[in-house]
This record gives sequence, C-alpha cells and structure tokens, in this order.
Amino acid sequence: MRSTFHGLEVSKRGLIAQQAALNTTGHNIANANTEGYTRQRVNMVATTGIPYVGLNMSREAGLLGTGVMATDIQRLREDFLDLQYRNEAKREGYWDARLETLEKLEGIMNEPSDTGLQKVMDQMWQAWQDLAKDPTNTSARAVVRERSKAVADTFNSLYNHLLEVQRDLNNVVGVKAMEINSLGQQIAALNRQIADIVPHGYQPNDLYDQRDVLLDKLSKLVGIQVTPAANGMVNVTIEGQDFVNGTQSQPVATQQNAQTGLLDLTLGGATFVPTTGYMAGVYEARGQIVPDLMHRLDVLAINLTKEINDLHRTGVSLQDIKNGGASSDLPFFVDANAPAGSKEYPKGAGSIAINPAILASLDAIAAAQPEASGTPAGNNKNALAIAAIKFKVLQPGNGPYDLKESSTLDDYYRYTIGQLGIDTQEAMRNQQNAELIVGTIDNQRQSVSGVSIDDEMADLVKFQHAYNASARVITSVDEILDKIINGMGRVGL
Amino acid sequence: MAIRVTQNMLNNNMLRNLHKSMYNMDKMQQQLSSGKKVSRPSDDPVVATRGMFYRSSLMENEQYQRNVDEVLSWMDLTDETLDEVGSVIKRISELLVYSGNGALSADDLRAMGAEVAELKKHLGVLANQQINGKYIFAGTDTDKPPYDEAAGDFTSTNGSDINLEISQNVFTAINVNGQNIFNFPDNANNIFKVLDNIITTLNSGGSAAQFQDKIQQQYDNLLAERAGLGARVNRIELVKDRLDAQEVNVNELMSTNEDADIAEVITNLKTQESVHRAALGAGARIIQPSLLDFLR
Repeated sequence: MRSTFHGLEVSKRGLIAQQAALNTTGHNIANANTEGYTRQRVNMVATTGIPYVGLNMSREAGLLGTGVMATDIQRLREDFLDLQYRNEAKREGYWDARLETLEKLEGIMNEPSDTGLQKVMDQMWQAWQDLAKDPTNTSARAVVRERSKAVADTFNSLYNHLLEVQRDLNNVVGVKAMEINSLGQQIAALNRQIADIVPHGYQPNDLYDQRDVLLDKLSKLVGIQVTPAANGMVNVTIEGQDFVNGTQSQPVATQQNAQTGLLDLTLGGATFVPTTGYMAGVYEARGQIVPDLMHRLDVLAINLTKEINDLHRTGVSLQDIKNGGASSDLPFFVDANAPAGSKEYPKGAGSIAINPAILASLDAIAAAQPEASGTPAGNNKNALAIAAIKFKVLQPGNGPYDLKESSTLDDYYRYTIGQLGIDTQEAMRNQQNAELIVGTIDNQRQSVSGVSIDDEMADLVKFQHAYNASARVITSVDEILDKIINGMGRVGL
Repeated sequence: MAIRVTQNMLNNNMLRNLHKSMYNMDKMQQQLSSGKKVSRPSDDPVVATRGMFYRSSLMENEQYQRNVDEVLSWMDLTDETLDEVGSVIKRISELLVYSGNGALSADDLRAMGAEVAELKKHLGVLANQQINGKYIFAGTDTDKPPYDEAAGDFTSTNGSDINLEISQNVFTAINVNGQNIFNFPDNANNIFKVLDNIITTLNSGGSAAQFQDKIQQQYDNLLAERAGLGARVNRIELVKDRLDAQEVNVNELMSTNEDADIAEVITNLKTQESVHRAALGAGARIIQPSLLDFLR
C-alpha cells in the first residue's frame, strides 16, 4: 500500500536536487572568469523505487519511482590535457628565458648601427691612415690616441654591460628559487586542506582548481612530474628529485659557488641543476650564452691589441727620434690592472687601457719604423703597417684566446654578431612555437573545462523549469489531499 | 564530441590574434619609420652582417678618397714647383747663350752673374717648398730643409718615398725624389754646383756659354721627372675615379641590402590594417552576444 503522501516526498526531492543544480550553475557563472576554474556539474540519480524487495513485500504492480537525489558535484576536467600542458609549458619557459637574454645582448651589441664597436674600430683604422699622411702632425696623433681610447672604452663598456646582464640573471635565479619554494609550500598546504576533506566523502573541487593553477605556474619554471597520492593529495618531483610529498615540501635554496661567484640551487639539501623550464633557460643564459659572448669579445680585444702592440713596439716615436733613434719598445695598449710602467698586454675586453706613456705625450706614438742611418721624422711606415691590420688575416691557434679559424678581426666580429642574430632567431622561433602549442592545449583544456555562459544559461532555464514543475506537482498533490480530507464521505451533504 | 567553444576561448583567441596583428603592424611601422628592413641582427643575420661589411667598406673608401686627395695635393704642388724650376733653368740657359756675346763688357757679365745668383737663391726656395709645414723634396726628412741656404747647396741625402695607401694594399709615393732633381747626377755635379761655377765664371768677367750643355742636361732630367710625375698623377686620378664609382656602388648595394621597399611595406601595412580591422569587427560581434541577451 503506497503512502498517500508519497507524491509530496518525491517532489520535495526534485525541488532539492534542482535547487542544488541551480546553485551550481550560479557558482559556474560567478566563476566564469576565475583563473583555472573548472566548471562543475551536479550528477543526479533516481532514488530506489518501492517496494523494497523482500519476503513480505507488498505485491502491487510496478516498482514505483521515489524521485531524485544529487550524488556528487563533479569537476569537468581532462587530466591528460594537464599533463600535456605542463610538458609544453616548461619548453615555453625555457625559450622565454633564452629569448629575453639574447634580445638584451642584441641591444647591448647594437649592430648594425653607426654607433657600435665596428664603427669605432673603423674610425681607429682611419686615424692611423691619417697619421700616415702626416706623421709629425700633433693633431693627427691626438686623433689616433682619442680613437684608440674610444675603442678601449667601447670594449670596456660592452664587457661591463655583459657582466651586468650576468649579475641580473644571477639575481633572477635567486628570485625564481624563492618563487619555486613558495609554490611548493602552497601546494603542500593545499594538499593538507584537501586531505582533511576527502576522507569525509566530499570532492574539494575548488581546492583542486587552485592546486592545478599552482602546478601550471611551477611547470613553467622547472620540469615537474605530478603523481596522485592518498586522500586526493599529489606528490611532485622536479626532474626526478622529491619536491612535494603529501603535506611536506622540500626547500629550494641558493648557495653562492665559491669558484664562479654564481648562485647554485639546492633542492632539499641536494644539488639541483635544472635542465628544462625557465630556470634552465636562465641557467644557460647566465653560464653559457653571456660568458660565450664575453669570451668572443675577449678574443677580439686580445688579438686586436696584440697586433697593434707588436707593431707599435718595433716602431720608433718622435721621442725616440729625438733621443737617438732606438725604439723604446712601448706597447700601445696595456692591461688596466697591471702596475704602472708594466708592458703587460690587455688580458681581456674589460681591461684595455692606453699606455700611460702615450697618454702623457703624443710624441710617444710610434709612427715610424727604424732606419739604419737614423730615422727621419717623416717616416710613416709603422702607421701604415698598423692601419693594415684591419685587413690582416690572423692565423688560427690552439690557445684559449686564439682564433679558431683564420680570419680578419672584422670578419671575426661580424661572425660573432651573425651568430648572435642566428641564436636569437632560433630562440624566437622556438618560443613562438612553444607559445602556440601551449595556447592550443590551453584552448583544448578550456573547451572541456571552461565556463560557457550559453551553456549555463540553457542549464539555468532547464533547472528552473524542472524546479517549477516539481513545485507544481506538490500543488497537485495538495489538491488531491484536499479532496481526500475535505471532500470525501460527504455524500448528499 | 563536438568541439565545445566557450566565451573565454573566443576571448583568448581573439586577444592572441590581435596581439599578433599588432606585432606585425609594429614591425612594419618600424620599417617605415627607420627606412630599414632590419634593425637588429635577429631580423636577418645575413643582411645584418652584410650591412656591417658595407658600412666598413664605405669608411675604408672614404679614407682612401681622403688619402688620394692628399696625394693629389702633394703632386699638384710638386708639379707647380717643378714648372717654376723649369722656368728658372730656362732663364739661366738664355743668360748663358747671351753671355757668349763677345760685345758684352765685364760689368755686363758681372750683372748677369748677380742675376744668376738671385736665380740660384730662388731655386733654393723652390727646393725648400713646403706643404703643411713639410718639405716636399726632403724624402722622409720632412721636418728639415733639404737646401741649406747658408751653404748654398742641396744637403739632404734622403731619397725615401713617403707612401700612402690609396686602395687596399696599393701604396703610392706621394713625393718626388728630391735627389733625382736637385742632386742630379750626383751631389758634386748638381745644379747648385753648376750655378756656383757659372756665377764664379761670370763674376770673373768670362763667358759662361760652355755651361750650356750641363744646364741642358739638368733641364732634360727635369722634364723626364715631370713626365714621370704626370704619369703618376694620371694613375692616381684613375684610382680616384674608381673610388668615387665604388662609393656609389657600395651605397647602392647597402641600400638594396637593408633598405625597406617603402611601397611594399606600405602595401603590407595596409593589408595588415584591414586584417586588424576585420579582427576587431569580428571580435565585437562574437564577444558581445550570449544566450543571456535573448532570454527574457
């Protein structure tokens, strides 16, 4: 025998379930623009019909439906897409870092332009040619000295700029290490909150979303692997090393390397060298790209000054001619850090200085080559020889600062700039590709998880109608009961 | 499953495409405003390094042109000086012929001797000709006068060339060897010594006609030197023409290498602009309406 009030209970269940769905729809709409939000859906199931099966069950026809219940609220998300996203994000991060550095370097080198190193060197060669025209002329000598100083200054300033970039990158390593650390702590904290809720049979959807956002951010910085753990928690490893384990995260710290002066990373106390992600890009830029360019500048500076010095030392200056004609063996450029009076050649692009003897007197510039019977002041052979260094093909050698292929100094510099351009181009292309792929995957993710206002509006209408209809059913049942209670057994009244 | 497209996807896609379109426009704007195809090496490494090479070549060329101008000014001055030396020698040779006239008195001959002495002094001035304070007939001893006025003789023994580079690895002497002119055929028999002899002879009242041969010899030598100089000037002028042509050439190469084709860039910019407009228009249409707008 079915209850007279059965219909009321069924409709009440309908009202409750539809209301939950309406509320979830509202939640979705409210979070339409929340970063990382995943749309949610109320799963509904029809409740068990009556009568229940048993020995003394009533023998009525038909199993009568008892209404609906909301079983759970589900997050619509595809884990596989997250995996793909994180894989590509680390690539994007890596190329981002490289590109940022390379573009900076391009800006510093400032070629081709009318103000770069090439122009300054060209002007120096011109000055030597002009001195050859007029070897006794003081102003021609002054121009040689000033142009050479400009070359030294340009080398020094380029080198110092590069050092600065390297220092900046080193700071970035420190800052990003802190960021990784903080992300790890946040993930561990979310793990704890999630583990508090999940055993009670609930799905902390919004906490999951928050954690996924953090994992996405982390994946840009370093290559991570995420594995699910008990109670809805996740464990994270960075390139095979433990990072987040349940509610614990390993600290990421930096330590200054005594040898290089750069910051090294440690993860949970163990050495950690990133090979992917933004961090790896910064590491490579700091430890490879910038030092490589600095080395090339060093090679250029050392060879340039050596060629000029070697010739200059064989020449005789106006002072020498006045003092009897023997060459005083002065190098034109000296190392800025060498003690005064030293004849040490510059040891790198950052330490070129003009010989103080030449700064003291223009007559110390050796424009002439010695002649057996006394050198005349008008001899310009050394100036000509120095000006010809521009076209001299230098031979390759095995020393650390020797050229690796025979070329002129100009060629070597142009090759350096060309290489920089090609590297930047490659980084740009790869960065664009990675960005595109990440964008595509993110779109796919949005396609599954994103909130569509249209969807939600349609759902809203749907659930509202169902809610209204359930209410209408209650009214019907009410009318039936009214009939039974107030209208029955009053025959003839 | 049909692809589900959400508002955010539309937003993101449109923003990404708008950014890309803006980036392209920015590149073209840059090309238009700078007039260059490339502004950094990564725009096109080949064009960039070639641009560096052309710039360098232009500066070399400019320097060679400057050197050539210097060479030509030396040579012009040398030629003018030698021309004057020629006139002096011609005048002397006239005087020598005249001195053979038996009707001349000893006083006349002495007056003639005085004139020759003046001419010799002038020849000394010419031998000490300077350009920018440098003696042009002193070889590389440019700071010492080759003709010693007190001794009345050409005392310099420096016959070195002063070389300048007028093209890559092409050197030319800018001076004429003073030894070949003023110490010809050797220091003992040079023109000043000959003139000294003439002056002594004339002052003693004798005819100096017998020196005609020697003077003629000097004159012939001078002409030969001038001819040689003329030939060299011709060659330098050819080099100068070539350098001028080269400058135009390299400029043109540099321009084709790195200058933006303005017509093309403007056309591309216009196209990009319409694409951008279309994207904005479409965006306005797509983003705006949702089901919300139609539910009442």
